Amino acid sequence: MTTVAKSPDQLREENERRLREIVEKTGKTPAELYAERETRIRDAIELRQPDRAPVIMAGSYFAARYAGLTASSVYYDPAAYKEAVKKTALDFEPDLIRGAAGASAGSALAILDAKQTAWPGGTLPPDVTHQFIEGEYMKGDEYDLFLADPTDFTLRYYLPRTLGAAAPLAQLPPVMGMAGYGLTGIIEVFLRPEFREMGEKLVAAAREQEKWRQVMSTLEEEMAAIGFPQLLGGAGVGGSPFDAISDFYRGMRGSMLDMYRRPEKLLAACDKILEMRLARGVPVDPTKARGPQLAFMPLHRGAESFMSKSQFEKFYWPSLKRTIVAATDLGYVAMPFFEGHFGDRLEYLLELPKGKVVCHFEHTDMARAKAVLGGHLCIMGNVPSSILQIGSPQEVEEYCKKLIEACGEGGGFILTHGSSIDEAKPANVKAMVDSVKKYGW
Amino acid sequence: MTTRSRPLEAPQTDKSPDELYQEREARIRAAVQLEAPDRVPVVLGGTYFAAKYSGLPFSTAYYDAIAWKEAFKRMILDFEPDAFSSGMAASGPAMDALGAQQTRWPGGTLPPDVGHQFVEGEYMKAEEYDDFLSDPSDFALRVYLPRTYEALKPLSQLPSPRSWLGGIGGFTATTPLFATPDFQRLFETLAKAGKEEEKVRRVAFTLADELAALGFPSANHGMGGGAPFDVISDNLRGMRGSMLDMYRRPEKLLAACDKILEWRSARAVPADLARRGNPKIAMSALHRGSEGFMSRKQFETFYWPGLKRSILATIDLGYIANPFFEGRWDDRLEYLLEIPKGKMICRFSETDMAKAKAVLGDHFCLMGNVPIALLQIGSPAEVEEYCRDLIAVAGKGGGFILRSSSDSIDEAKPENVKALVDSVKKHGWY
Repeated sequence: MTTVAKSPDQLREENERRLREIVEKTGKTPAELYAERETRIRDAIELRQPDRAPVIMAGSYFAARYAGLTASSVYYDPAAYKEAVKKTALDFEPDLIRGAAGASAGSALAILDAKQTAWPGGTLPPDVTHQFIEGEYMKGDEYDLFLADPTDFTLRYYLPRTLGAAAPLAQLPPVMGMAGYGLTGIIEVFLRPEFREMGEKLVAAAREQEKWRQVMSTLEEEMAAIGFPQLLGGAGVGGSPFDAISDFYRGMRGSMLDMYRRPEKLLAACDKILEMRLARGVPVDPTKARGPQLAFMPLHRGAESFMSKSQFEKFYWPSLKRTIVAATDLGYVAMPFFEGHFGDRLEYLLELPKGKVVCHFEHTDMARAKAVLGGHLCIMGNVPSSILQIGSPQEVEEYCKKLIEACGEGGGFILTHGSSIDEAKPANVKAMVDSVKKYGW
Repeated sequence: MTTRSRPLEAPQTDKSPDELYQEREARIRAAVQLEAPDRVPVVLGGTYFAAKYSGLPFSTAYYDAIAWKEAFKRMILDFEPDAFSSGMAASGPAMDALGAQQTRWPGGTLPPDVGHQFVEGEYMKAEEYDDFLSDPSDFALRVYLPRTYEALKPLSQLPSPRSWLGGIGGFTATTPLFATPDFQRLFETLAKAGKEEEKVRRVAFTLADELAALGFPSANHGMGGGAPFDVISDNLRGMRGSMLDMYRRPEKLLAACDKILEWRSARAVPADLARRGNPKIAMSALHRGSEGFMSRKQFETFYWPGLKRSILATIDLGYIANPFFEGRWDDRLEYLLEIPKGKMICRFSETDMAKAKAVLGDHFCLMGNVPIALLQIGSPAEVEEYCRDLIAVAGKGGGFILRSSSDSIDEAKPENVKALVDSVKKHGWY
């Protein structure tokens, strides 16, 4: 589907019209629709039978494309993008829609010279979705440094390596030395022209990011006003500590080798990350929370194709389990996204608190997931991205029908796509969302 | 008292400055190696005395680096010790800009003629040990610095930099802070303080070279070998806090000592043997390990293990350790024998030097300890007599360097300081 690019104002007008139509058609207010959708999701999570199976979809780049915008609008035109997400919600009417978690202002990323991300409209063409650039941002012999003084490592090693604009930080003397010897003696460092320049860049990036954030920060409110619950990104106490090390510090290659070459350090680093995250976990404020506080948690390296079951048991599962339990204790509903295949390690998930977690699967066999986890945890999935991209609406509908039959029995199931729908045909996405309205009651 | 208008002149002698330098350094080296040099060497230091001797206020050390440096050189040239120990102050304007809270200094938060004071306090609270242990730089950045520098208060608004680990999201979420007026001012203050500090640094940097060219070696070439306990007591918990901690949270206190030691050893830099100075001497000042502050048993548990490891590490880096044992150490001298022979110069303040000579004389060079009270209120004859007796006891057979009991000779009479330095030239020949 191609659409001519519209201004945020045009989009806003269209959205208002569409909302009026929905209200007329259903005879319900947006607040009633919101409550209905939220109840449906809550029932599924808490293993009750909802009126029908809920369906969740991603806004992300699909919404931009659907509204005739480029992928880069997420980074460079948040006002238009926000309307695109609303348009997508109003046109497709899922029970919940996800915004673009983890994005930032493209102009801020450019000023900071961000090395770990390639993003549309910046270091990528406007219509190529963002890419994460893994690398050994922490070297094999730097575990001790990180373990003994994580902030020192962050400031003087990690940031200079991952942000070009922060490169001067590598010249800083160790910060801990200032507790003990004070600032005098090291302060000249701030006089160097590159520090001045860094200060200016930080301020400029700050201004750009703040502009972007101000626009994006109202998305949840605005979505609620038109009747749609939103998914929080990254709340709770983060995702898998192993993934943090693998994704951000050591890279896949580094972390895989570390399981053999320095397993104790790797495990100590997982513990350290967990400890740090637990220390700053903020409990859900029940007086402010609107609905279940879903904490999105993408999981990368724990799948069958990345590590054996015994490695999973030793390196991945213990800290992931503690993370999810901690998030639950703080009042969140963790929504781990088990990317890849998890079929041979589903039994571990029975150790998680009953009815408090949503397990989103990508490629895992859902019939087996239902057999193992049914009655204990809500499962969510997993219409393949490939069908949504190259299949026909009939094929999608058929797939969804079978999936609902296999998993929907007795509740505890949410329908969604397996992973990204960036390149999906809107008609196919529509077929997926509509399938629950036909077969999900 | 002399005036600042008198030109600097090297003393009249047949020897070249280089010959004098070599002679003086050889004298110190022999003493360190427990040999008898031609005569007992003498070391002179005194940040404020140098200013006063040239008719300048103490605040010169903080606010007029060039004048202070000239005054210090004049003092050394006039008194002719065998080595000098310079305590160049920090930049007063930098400390003004930063609003330094842990120090009061002449011309800044003190009158121009009052020597600087260290302001102890609970800059780390008892319940913050765990934060310090688990992420010391985070503690330093967001808690300690805002408490110890008025201008760094905005740092306490920062989220933990740990949240910047793991992707750009955390960092960009923080960046709006940097555009706030508070942080703008902070950046400006840091740059301003940096500029001031650099001015001082540039002047101070050449002091050792200039004095070497005039024939005087330096008595220290680095810092190292301090007690981890003192870092906690002086800088973090204060005396009261650290003393209570020995009773209330001994494990945390010891863990923090270990942490400091571990941190220091990871960053220690070996002595640069290519540079001037043989031997390389690393000084440190020891505060709370003396008899007046803790029992021997406490010393053995809390103070000595960390200090010993710190001194050994300094020696491993190629230095002769030169700890300044402040206060009285009479009942704990035996511990020092655990340090390798000839690798330490024990500088004493109030310790009985006869006892020190008896316990340590075969093992270490001793340094000290003409009372600063005597230098202030005694007569030159009394000073000379005191030094003669001290040399006879502590200098016996070599391994001794004469020095005042501390370098805080702020109020000493110049003629008494002269009597001290001259005493070795009268009574110090072997």
